[in-house]
Amino acid sequence: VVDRESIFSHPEVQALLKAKFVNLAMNDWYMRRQEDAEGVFFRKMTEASPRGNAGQATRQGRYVFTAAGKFLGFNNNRSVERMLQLLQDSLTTWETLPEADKYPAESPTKGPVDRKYNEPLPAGGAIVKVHTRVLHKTADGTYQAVKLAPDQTKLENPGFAAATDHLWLQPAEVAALRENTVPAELLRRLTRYHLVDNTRGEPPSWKPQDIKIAKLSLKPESAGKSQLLGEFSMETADGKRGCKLTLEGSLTWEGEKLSQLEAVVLGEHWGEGTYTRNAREGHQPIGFSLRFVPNPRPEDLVRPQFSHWLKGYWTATE
Amino acid sequence: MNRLILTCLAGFWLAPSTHAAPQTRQELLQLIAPSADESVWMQIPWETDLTKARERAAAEKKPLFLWEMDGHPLGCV
Repeated sequence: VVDRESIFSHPEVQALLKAKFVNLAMNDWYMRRQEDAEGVFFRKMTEASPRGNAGQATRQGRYVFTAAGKFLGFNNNRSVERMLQLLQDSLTTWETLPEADKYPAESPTKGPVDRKYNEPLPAGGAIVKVHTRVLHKTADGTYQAVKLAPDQTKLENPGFAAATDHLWLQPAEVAALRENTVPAELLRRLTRYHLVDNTRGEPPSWKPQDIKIAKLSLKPESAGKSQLLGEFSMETADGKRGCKLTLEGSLTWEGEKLSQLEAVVLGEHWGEGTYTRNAREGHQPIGFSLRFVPNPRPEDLVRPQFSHWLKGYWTATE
Repeated sequence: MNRLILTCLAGFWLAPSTHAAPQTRQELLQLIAPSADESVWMQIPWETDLTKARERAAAEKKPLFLWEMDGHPLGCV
């Protein structure tokens, strides 16, 4: 979130990236493990960088390279000035390269894909965009976004911006929702992996024993439309982290085809995870928005954060 | 002992919601989703497919810029 706001929103960085580069965003957790042509290409390119041969360790950062695989530059900091320097230096190097270092001799091909890390959403499944935002609640009950204090900067990552994830639904689950039934797997998946405070980074998911209440029900409202209501309560064994939430939403259908799913989840959360420190003190308001994506763009096809082991994500029992 | 209530029966109906916010659902959806200011970074046309990006880079005679994160930059938190 900090990178998005502090670097990739900067007008000079944007102008250079749009004009002079082909821009690519990828998940390092998959790329450093994939045993296929893309994984091999990525690891070979990064081994020429300061990351070196990182093995299974993280290779995250910002890289500039050529279509032929020639490494040109790297950084992994949040300075706009150093990002601009990286881009300019890389362009200077690019200009000096022979054609063979710039372009592959043959058009790149994917070859056999490592399915373990490239499993797509099943045909007929559905994507629900999930955003999370910590909130402020006024005396009259109105929810507001939390603003930075005058002495705070975005680089301190207070987690006040919206976080993004994708909830995946199996085709059979979409069909069940059409019958106003909420599959148990879907309810567990939503609860354990998506109703989490991910506003300051990747949080722990809820363990099955953390879930005290998870209710979700559908009530036919009119032809082709149902109301969705839910109640959730999660708390770790030590009581240090938790959420109490209610959900209100609706589903709309055109025949058997889902045309709209939107829901708002509101309530309070408390605590923090190992990698999500600096939560606000005590019990604080939080909100989640859920919206079905009928016509996904590439960024909508990004896998759910907790789907590293996709089978486990689907069943949400482990 | 922890009390676990996991209910997903279509016939089960919850009591009216306790959202009790004066805002409409649409207002709340808009509040929680990224604002225009928070979405400026998406004005950069990000590719998500390495092979396709390499094809484009060769065709457009440009280098590639890669934003690599442990967790996808376009979908992770």
